[in-house]
Amino acid sequence: MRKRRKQESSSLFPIKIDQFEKLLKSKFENNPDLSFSVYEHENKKAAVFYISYLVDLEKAEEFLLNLLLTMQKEWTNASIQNEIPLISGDATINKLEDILEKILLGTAFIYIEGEDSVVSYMMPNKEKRALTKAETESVVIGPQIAFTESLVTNLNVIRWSIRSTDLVMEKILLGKETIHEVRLIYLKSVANETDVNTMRERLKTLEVNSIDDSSVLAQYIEDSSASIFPQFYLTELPDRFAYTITQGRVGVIVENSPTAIIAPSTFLSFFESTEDLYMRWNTGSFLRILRFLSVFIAIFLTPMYVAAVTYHYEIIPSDLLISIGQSRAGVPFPPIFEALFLELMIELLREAGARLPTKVGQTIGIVGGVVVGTAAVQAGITSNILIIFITISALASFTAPSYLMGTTIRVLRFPMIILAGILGIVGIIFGICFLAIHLLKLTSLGRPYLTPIYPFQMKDLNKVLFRLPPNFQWRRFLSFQPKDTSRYDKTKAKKKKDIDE
Amino acid sequence: MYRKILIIAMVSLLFLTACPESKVIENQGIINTRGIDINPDQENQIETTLIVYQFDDQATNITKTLYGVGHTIKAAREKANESSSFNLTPGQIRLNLFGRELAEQGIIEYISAMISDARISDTMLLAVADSSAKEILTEGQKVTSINVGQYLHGVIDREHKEETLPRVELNDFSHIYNDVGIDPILPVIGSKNGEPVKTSIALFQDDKYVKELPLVDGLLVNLFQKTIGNAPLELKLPMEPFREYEAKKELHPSNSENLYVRIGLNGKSQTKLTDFEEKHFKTTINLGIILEEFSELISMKDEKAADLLEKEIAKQIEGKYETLLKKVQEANADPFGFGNIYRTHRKAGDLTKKEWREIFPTISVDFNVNVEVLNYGTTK
Repeated sequence: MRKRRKQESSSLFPIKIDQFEKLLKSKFENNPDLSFSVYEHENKKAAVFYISYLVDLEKAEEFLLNLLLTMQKEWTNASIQNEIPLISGDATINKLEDILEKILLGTAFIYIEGEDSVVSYMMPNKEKRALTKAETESVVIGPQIAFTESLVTNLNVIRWSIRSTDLVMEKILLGKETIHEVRLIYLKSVANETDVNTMRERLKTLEVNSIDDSSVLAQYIEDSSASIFPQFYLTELPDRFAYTITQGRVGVIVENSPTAIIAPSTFLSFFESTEDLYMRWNTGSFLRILRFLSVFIAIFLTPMYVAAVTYHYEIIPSDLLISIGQSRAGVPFPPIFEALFLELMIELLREAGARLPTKVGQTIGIVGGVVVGTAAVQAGITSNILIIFITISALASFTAPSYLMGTTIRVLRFPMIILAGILGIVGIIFGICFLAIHLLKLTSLGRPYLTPIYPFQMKDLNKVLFRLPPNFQWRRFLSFQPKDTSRYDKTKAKKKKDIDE
Repeated sequence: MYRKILIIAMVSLLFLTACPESKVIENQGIINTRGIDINPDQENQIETTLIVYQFDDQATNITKTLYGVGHTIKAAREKANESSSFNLTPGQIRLNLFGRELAEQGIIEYISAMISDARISDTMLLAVADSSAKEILTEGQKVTSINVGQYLHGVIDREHKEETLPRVELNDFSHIYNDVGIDPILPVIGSKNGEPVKTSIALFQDDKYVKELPLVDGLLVNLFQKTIGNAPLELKLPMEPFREYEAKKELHPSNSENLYVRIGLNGKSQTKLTDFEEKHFKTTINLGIILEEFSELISMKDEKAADLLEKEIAKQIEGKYETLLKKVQEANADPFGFGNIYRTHRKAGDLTKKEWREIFPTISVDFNVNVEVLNYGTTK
C-alpha cells in the first residue's frame, strides 16, 4: 500500500468535464453506481460526483446540491467553500488516486471546470447495526453492550469508557488489495512501551492482501500461530476492553469486526470474567476458582474414566466399582471407543446447535441430549456412568468465558482420551507433561504465557487466581511491567470518608 | 538431515513402545476378599477362598465364590481361575482372612508376597478366622444377602472408626512385624449361625497367632498407642458405693449388685521407662469421659457422686490394663510396644527380638488412670 502511494502522478487538473467523466467511468467499469451529474451556472460547468450508496444522499442533496445550484456568486473553489461551509470541505485534492481513494470512503466531489483541484465533502453513509447484547461472552451483571462491526461506533464507545487524554488510538492501515483500518489503542502513561512498540511493529510489518476479521488478524500476529492455544484475548465487551486498557495492556480494534484484540494475555486470563469484578470479592473468587477447576474436569475427567476402566481398576473405590462394572458389562466396545463415541456425539450436538437457528437449536439439544442419551444406554452402546462424566465435562468446558479457549479445551480432550486408552494413567501424565512444556514455552506479545504462575509473581496472584477486597487491589498487574504500577494510593483506600458528626 | 532422522527416531520411540496389558473392568473377576487356609488334603499347600465380583450382563448375582489350591497364593489363584471365564485380579482385595491354623503357623510369607505385589492395595485389612477362612466365607456368603467380603470389611472398618481396635492394614502388619519390641493384633472373625461376626482379638507373636483376647482389649491397646475420641465402652462397677446417690430410692429401690455404666472415652496415654535396670514402666492415661447410660437410676447432682464415679472408673480401667498385661506377658507378645520405648533407652537403640522376648515377661508397669467426667448428658 505504501508502495502504491509512492507512484505519485502529477496533477490531473484542469481537465474538460467530458474527459474527466470518461476517465472516472473507465475506472468504475461495469459499475453503474457512480453518480456523475453536470450542472451549468453563469457559463461555468460543474460536475458533482459520488457513489450513491456510500454517501448520505439526503445530506448531499440538501446541503450540497441545493446550496450549489442556488448560489448567486460565480462558481470557483473558493466561493463554493465559502457558500457550502461543511466542515469536511477540502479543496486540495488534485490527483486521480486520491479521488478514487476518497470516493470509496463516501466522499462527494464538486469539480468546477477550469479549476486545478476538486472540492470534496466527506459525507459517508455507513450502514451498521445498533448496539446489542454480547452473544458469545454473555454476562449476568455489569454492562451488557457489545462492540459492533462499525469502527467509528466502537471508537465512540471506547472513548466514552476511558475519558482521558492519555488514551492513544493509533491508526494503521492494513491490507494490500483491500484496505482495512486498524486502531492500536493504549494508555500512554501506563502501557509498557515495549509492548506498544512490538504490537505496532507486528501490525506495520504485516503483509497480507486483506484482513477478514480481528480473529484472523490475531492469528497472523500471534507469537506462535501453530499453537492450539489462543495467545491474544478476543473480546466483544467494551467494558472488558476498557478495563484491560486501563491496566496497561494494548488493544487492537479492526474495522468491520465486532471483537477487539487484547494483548498481552496470560493463559489464566482466559478464565477471568468481568463478572468476577462486578461480584463481591468472595463470590467472585469462588466463581473464578470454580472455572479453574472446570478446566481440569473438562480435560481430565473422561480420560481418567477411560484409564481407570481400561487399566487401573484398582483406583476405583469399591462402592463405585460395582456400579461402573455393572454398567460396563453390557457394552460391547472397549472404553476408549465408548468415550470417543459419546464425546463425538456431544460435539455434534454442540456444532448442530450452533449452526441452526436458535429455536431449532434448542430442540436439537433436547432431542439429542435426552432422547439419544437414554436410548444409547438402553441399547447397551454406552454405560450410564460415562454419560454422567461426559455431560459434566461438557458443561465444565463451557464455563470458560472465552469461546476460543473453551473450544481449545474441548479439542484437547480427544488426544487425552486416546492417550488414556493406549497408555492408561501413564498416557495422561504424558499428555499433561506435553501440555505443561508447551504452555511454558508459549509467549504472548513476547511475555510469558503462564505468568504469574511461571515466572512466579506473588503480588499478581490476587488478580488471577482469586480476588481480594478492593482496597487490596491497588497494584496493577506487575508481570506485564506497566509504566505506572499502582492504581491508587493504598493508604487512602482504607479510609472511609464519612462525615463525622 | 540429522535433525530429521532424530525426529523420526523420537517419534518412532513413542509408537514402538508396547501397549500395557489392558485390564478392562468387565473382563476381570475382581477379587474382593480372600481367605487363606492350610490345605487339609495336601501337606505344604494352601487353599484360597476367593469372593469375586464378576460383571456379567446376563447374571443377576455378581458375587461368586471360587476355590483354588497351590503352594503359593498366585498358583492357588490361577487354579481357582480355571473355574471362571473371567480373569481373576487381586487389585481390589479389601480384606484378607487367614485361617486359624495357618495363623498359628505364621503368616509372614504371605504378607511379604502381598507387599511385594505392586497391584495389591497396601491398605487392605487383615483378619483371622476362628476356624477356617473357607468355612466362614462360604457360610457367610450363603447367609448374608450381600457380598460377604463387603459385609466383613464394613464390620471391621466400623470398629476402626469407633476406635475400639487399632487399625492394622497390610503395610502396618509388615511394619510392626519388622519392628523390634511390638507385636501385631488382628480381629478374629467367628461364625454365629453362619453369619460372620467379630468375636475376639488375635494376639500375634511376630507373625504367629498365640493368644486370643476379648474384644474389649482392643480398645485398651488402641488407647495406649494413640489419642482416641469418643470410643464406646461399658464398665461394670460395684453398686454398693453408689447406693446413697440412687435417685427415686423410695419408689424403686435397686437390688442389683452391679452398676453398669456406658461411657464414651476420650483421651491419650503417655508411657515412660522409669527404671532402666528394673525394667519398670509408668503409664499415665488421661481420660475424659462422657456418661451415656447407667443401668440403675443414679443422680449425679452431687459433686461427690461424680468424684466417686471417676475414681471407680479409673480403678476399673487400671485393673483391666493390669489383667491384660499379665495375659500378654504370659503369651510373651507385646501389642503395646513397650519394647519400642525400652529400645530407645538402649545404647544406639540396640535391641534384638530375641532379647526382648526374654525381657518382656519380666517388665513391670505402673498404670495410672486419671478420669474426668466431661459431660453428664441428661443424667444430671
